[in-house]
Amino acid sequence: MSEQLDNWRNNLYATGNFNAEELNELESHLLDEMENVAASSLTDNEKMLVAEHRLGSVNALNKAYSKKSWISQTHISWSLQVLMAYFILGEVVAIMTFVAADIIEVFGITSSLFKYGVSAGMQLFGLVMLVFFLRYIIKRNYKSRSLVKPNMIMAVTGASLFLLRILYFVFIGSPIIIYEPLLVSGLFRFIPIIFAISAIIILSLKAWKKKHTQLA
Amino acid sequence: MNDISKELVGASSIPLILTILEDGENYGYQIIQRVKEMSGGQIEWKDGTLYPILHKLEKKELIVSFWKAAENGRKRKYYKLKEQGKSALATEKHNWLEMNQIFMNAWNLKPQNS
Repeated sequence: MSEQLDNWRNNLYATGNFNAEELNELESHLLDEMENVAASSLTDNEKMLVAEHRLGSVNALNKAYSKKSWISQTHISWSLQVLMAYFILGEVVAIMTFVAADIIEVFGITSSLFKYGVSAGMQLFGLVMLVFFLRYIIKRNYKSRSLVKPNMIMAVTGASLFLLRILYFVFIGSPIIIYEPLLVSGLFRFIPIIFAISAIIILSLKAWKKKHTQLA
Repeated sequence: MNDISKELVGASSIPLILTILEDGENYGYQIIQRVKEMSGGQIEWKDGTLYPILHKLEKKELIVSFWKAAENGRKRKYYKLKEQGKSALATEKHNWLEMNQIFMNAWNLKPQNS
């Protein structure tokens, strides 16, 4: 039963027009309606189907809710979280590359080709981590029933990693700094910026279109 | 009896909601039931469309919302009329009665005493 309820919430959430509080309110309505579907011959799942039908389909609800605001809170929250995920991973990869370069120096290897190889390996690792990170973000958002999403944790993690990176650079130093910004930071800094800008453009266009179709 | 048009149902939704909340705080599900009762089933809202209207009224500061737990422990979101909402309802009442009067005159109808 609760699994069916979760599925229903997730379908609504996926449209990007509902925040956790709105979902809580609709869920409470659905449960009220189910209590009202008195027929005792129905199972809980069947009662839910009836209640769902009376409340309106995902499409109908989405249409009704999308009129209320011209920009989706959920989309903004998602963009911010993905942005932070990129930032955190960019820092992790940068620190790892610094450390790896210093360790290589200690072993007396000076081949720059080898260093490039290590740097590329780190980035690959970063990309794999990113996939897991995004999966985690999606999962957490879909399951979330709390009213406030803890973006704070990610912000603090990102900032402390950034600080750690600066400290490492100042106190231990690294020769890799010359080409590192081009490879690691470059890739990881530009993707989120492009992502954020395109998200804002797409959302604005969508909102603009919606506003005009409504007036017509 | 013909169904009331979609536009008219839409236009009447705000005064209806405000009228129901004038009787005291209430939550979405119960508000819909009251509308069905009041209109003798003539007004059928698709349930999900009520909430965006409630949220809009809250944004306009005509009503205020809060979560409250029921006896069985389940939480429901209640809505309550604010002072501004009361005066908005007074304006709505005036306008609808005015409109009613205009049609009465136009169609040469006498008001029914019920």
